Amino acid sequence: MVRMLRRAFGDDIRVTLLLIIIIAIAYPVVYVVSPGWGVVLGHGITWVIALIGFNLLFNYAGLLSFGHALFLGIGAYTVGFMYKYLGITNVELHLLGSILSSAVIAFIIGFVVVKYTRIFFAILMLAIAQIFWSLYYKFYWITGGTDGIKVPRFSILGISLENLDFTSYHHIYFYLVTGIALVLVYIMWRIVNSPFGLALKAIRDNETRARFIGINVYKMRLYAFIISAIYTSITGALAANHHRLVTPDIAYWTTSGKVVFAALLGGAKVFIGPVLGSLIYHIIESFAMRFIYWQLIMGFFIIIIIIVMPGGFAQLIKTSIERGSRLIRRGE
Amino acid sequence: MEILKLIDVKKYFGGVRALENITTTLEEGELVMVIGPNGAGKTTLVNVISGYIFPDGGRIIYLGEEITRHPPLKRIEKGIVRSFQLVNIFDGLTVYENLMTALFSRWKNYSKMYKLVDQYVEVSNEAENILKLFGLIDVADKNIKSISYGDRKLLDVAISFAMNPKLVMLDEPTSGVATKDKYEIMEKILEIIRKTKVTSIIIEHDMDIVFRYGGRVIVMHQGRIIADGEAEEVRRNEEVKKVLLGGVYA
Amino acid sequence: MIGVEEILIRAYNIFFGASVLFLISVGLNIIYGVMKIVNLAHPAFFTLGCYAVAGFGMGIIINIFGSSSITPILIVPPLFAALIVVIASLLIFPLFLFMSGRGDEVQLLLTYGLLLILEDLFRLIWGSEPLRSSQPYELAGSIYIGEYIVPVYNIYVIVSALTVALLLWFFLFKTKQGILIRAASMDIEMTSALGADVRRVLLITVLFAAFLAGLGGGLYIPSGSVMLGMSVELLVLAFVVVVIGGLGSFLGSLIGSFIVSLLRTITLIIFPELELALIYIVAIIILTLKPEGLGGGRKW
Repeated sequence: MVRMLRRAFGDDIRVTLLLIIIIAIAYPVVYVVSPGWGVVLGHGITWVIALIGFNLLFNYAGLLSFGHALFLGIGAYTVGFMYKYLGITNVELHLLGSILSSAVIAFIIGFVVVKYTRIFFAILMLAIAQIFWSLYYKFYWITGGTDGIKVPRFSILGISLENLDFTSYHHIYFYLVTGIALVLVYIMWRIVNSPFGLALKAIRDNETRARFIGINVYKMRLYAFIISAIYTSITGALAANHHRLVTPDIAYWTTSGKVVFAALLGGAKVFIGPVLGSLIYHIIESFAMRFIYWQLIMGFFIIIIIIVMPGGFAQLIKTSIERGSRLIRRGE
Repeated sequence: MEILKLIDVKKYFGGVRALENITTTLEEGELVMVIGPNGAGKTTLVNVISGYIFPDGGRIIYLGEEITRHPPLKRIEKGIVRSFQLVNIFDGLTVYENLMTALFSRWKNYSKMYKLVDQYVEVSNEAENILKLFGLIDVADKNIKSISYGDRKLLDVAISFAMNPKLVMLDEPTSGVATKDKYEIMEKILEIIRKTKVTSIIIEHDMDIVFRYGGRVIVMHQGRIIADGEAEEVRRNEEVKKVLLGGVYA
Repeated sequence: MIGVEEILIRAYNIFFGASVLFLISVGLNIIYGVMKIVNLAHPAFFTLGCYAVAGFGMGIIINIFGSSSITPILIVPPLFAALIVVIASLLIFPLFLFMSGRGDEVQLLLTYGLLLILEDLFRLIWGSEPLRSSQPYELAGSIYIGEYIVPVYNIYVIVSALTVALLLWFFLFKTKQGILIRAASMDIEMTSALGADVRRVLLITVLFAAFLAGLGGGLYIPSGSVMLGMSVELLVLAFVVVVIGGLGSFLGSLIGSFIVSLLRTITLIIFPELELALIYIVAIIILTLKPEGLGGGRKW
C-alpha cells in the first residue's frame, strides 16, 4: 500500500508544464500580432529557469539570497568569454560551459557561505554578488567593462543562424528555451519531491531536529546551493544569447532584486509560483518600461506583496478557484 | 547487558553546577523515569548523553564504547535518539512527511534525488505502520498546524522511534498537554516501549504520572542524583519527599 | 621607505573612514540590538542625509548664514541632515511597527524593498549625477604635514564621531533610559513585562538610529560626493563592520569600524580591485574563530 502525496494545484507538475505549453502555443500568435510581445514571452520563459532555481533555495531550503544575480552573471560571462576568447557560438557548448563554471564557483562559494543562514546568508550573497559585479566592471580589459561583450547569434547543432530573418531566428530561440525549460522544470519538480527535497524542507522547518535525526544539514544545503546556481546560470547563458550583449548590469544588485520580486510576485510557496512569477513579471515590466522609475515600483510592490498577499499570484488564483468552485457547488 | 554507563559526569555553566557526580548504569530494555524540580539537571543529562553538549568531566560509556566526546550525528548512528521538551517537529510538513523524513534519514536515503518520495514503497509502509502504532494514521495527511497538541507530542515521539533507537530519551513527553490527555499519551508511549523493548529514559515533571506507572525512578536535585530505585521505595525516601514536595515544583 | 608623515596620513584616513563607518553601523546595530529588526535600508538613511545637504540644504544654509561664516557652516548641515532623515523615518515608522516581532525573512524583504524605493527616489529627486557640497570642507582649509596636504575638515568629522560615541556610551551605560534600552536589547518581552511600552522603545530606537545616520551623512558629504548605488556599497561595508564587531554590540561598532577602515586602506594601497573581497574574507575568518564577533554579541 503506497501512500500518494496529494498535490494541490500549485504543486502539481502537470499544471505547471501545461502553463508553459500554453505559452508556447500562444507565442506564435502573439508574435504575429506584436513581435515585441513575442520577445517578452521569450524573456519570460528564459527566466523561468532561474526563478525555479532561486526558489529551490528560498522556499525549499529556506535560504533567501539577495545575490542571485551573481550566477546570472557567471552564466552570461561564460558565454561572453567563450565567444570572445574561443570563438564559440554553439549554444550547446555555452550551456555546458555555464553549467560547469557555475557548479565549480557555487561549490567554492557555497562551501563557505552555506554555513550561515538567514540574515547573514542573505547579505553575504549580496556582498559576494557586488564583489563579482565590481570585478566585471573594473577588469574591463578582460570583460569589456560597461561596453560589455557583443555576442553574435548562437549556432545550434553546428548550424549557423546568421542568415535567417529575425522572426525565424527568434522562433528557434523561443522553442529552444521552452524545451530546455520544460525539461529543467520537470527535473526540479522531481528533485523537490524526492527524499532530498523532503530533507531540505525538514531542514528549513527545523534545523536542529533535522540534525538530530541524522541529516547532514550542511551537505544538503550545499547541494541545493549548487543546483540553484546551475539553474540560474543557465538562464544567464540563455539571456546572454537573447540580448546578444553581456554587461555587468546582469550581475548588479537590482537584478537580484528582480529575481526576488518575480518569485514573490508569482508566489514562492508553491511550485508553480516562480513560473507564474517570471511570466507575469516580464509582462508587467514591458508595460512599465515606459515609466522609467521601475525600481521604485518593484520595491513598492515587494512591500505590498509581503504585507497583503504573501502567497503571490499563485495564492490569489488558488483562492479564486476555491471560491469559484464553492459557488458552483452551492448553486447545484 | 549493560547498555549505558555514566561515570562521574559533571557539567558547569559558568559557576552554576548543572551536573555533578553523575554515576549510574542502564541495562538493556530498562525503562527509567527521571524526575526532579526545575533546574535539577534532567535536561542537561539528556543533552550530555545525546551529544548536544559535552560534559566538563567524567565519562559516558555506551555498549562498551566511550562516547563522551562523540558528536551527535555519530551517536544517532549508534542508536541514541532523543526528543525535545518543546515540540520539535517539522511545521511545514504533514504528519506523514514528518515521519518519512525520519525514516529516509535512518535508511540513509535522504540525499537521493532520482526517485520520488511516493516511489519508496518499503519506507512508506514502515511509515504507515508507525503511524498506526501511535494512533496517528487518521491525521497522516494533515499539516502539523491543524492537529492537536497531544498528537503533535506523539508525533515528536514517533519520529524518535522511527530512528530505530537502541536508547531513546524523551524529555517531558506529556508536558503542555491537557491533564486529561496526559495519561492517554503516557500509556501509549509505555505500550510502545513495551512492544519495541527499547531502552528508555523518560524525563517527567508530573509526579502522579511517574509514581502511577512504577518501575525504576531516578530523582535529581541541583545536578545530583539523590535517589535511584523502585518507584515505591523512592517515594518513601525522606530526602526525596523534601525535595519534591517542598520547594519550587509545579 | 615609508616616512612618518605617510603613516600619519594613512592613520588620519583610517580614523576618518572609521568615523564614517561607525556613524552608519551604530544605527544598524542599535535597531537590531534593541528591536531585533534588521534594516537593510539603514545605509540609505545615511545617503539621504548626504543628498539632503548636497541637494538643497547647503544652499539654504549658505543663504542664511553667508558663505564664509565657518561655525554655522560646519555645524548646521549635519544637524539639518539628521532632521530630514528623522522626518523620513517617522514617515516610514508604520513599516517598522509591522516588522517588529516578525521573522527575519519578512524584515529582510521589506527593508530590501525599502532600499529599492529609496535608491530610485534619490534618482527621481536628484538625478543620476553625483552631487557635491564641499563648502565646509573648503572653508576649513588644510594644513601641511611634510609634503602632504591634510584637510582640516576631516579632523572635525573624527572629533564629531568621537563625541557622538562618547555621548552614546554615556547615554547607554549611565542613564536610566539608556539602561532600559540595553535591557530591552537583551530581552524585549521581559522589558515590556516591566512596564516599558515596546512601541515607544521602537520609536525612540528608530528615530535615534535615523538621527545618527543622517548626522553621519551630513558630516561626510562635504568631504566627498553622493551618488546612486552608494547605499548598497555602504550596506555591504556597514554589514561587515557589524559582523566583525558583533551584532548588537556598541563596542563592536567601534572595533569593527576601525578594523574595516584599516583593511580598506591597506587593500586600497596594495590591490584596489579586491578591496571588498579581502574585507569579507577577513570577516569570515574572524567569524570562524569567534562567532560572536570581536566585541561580543549574538552569534550568526
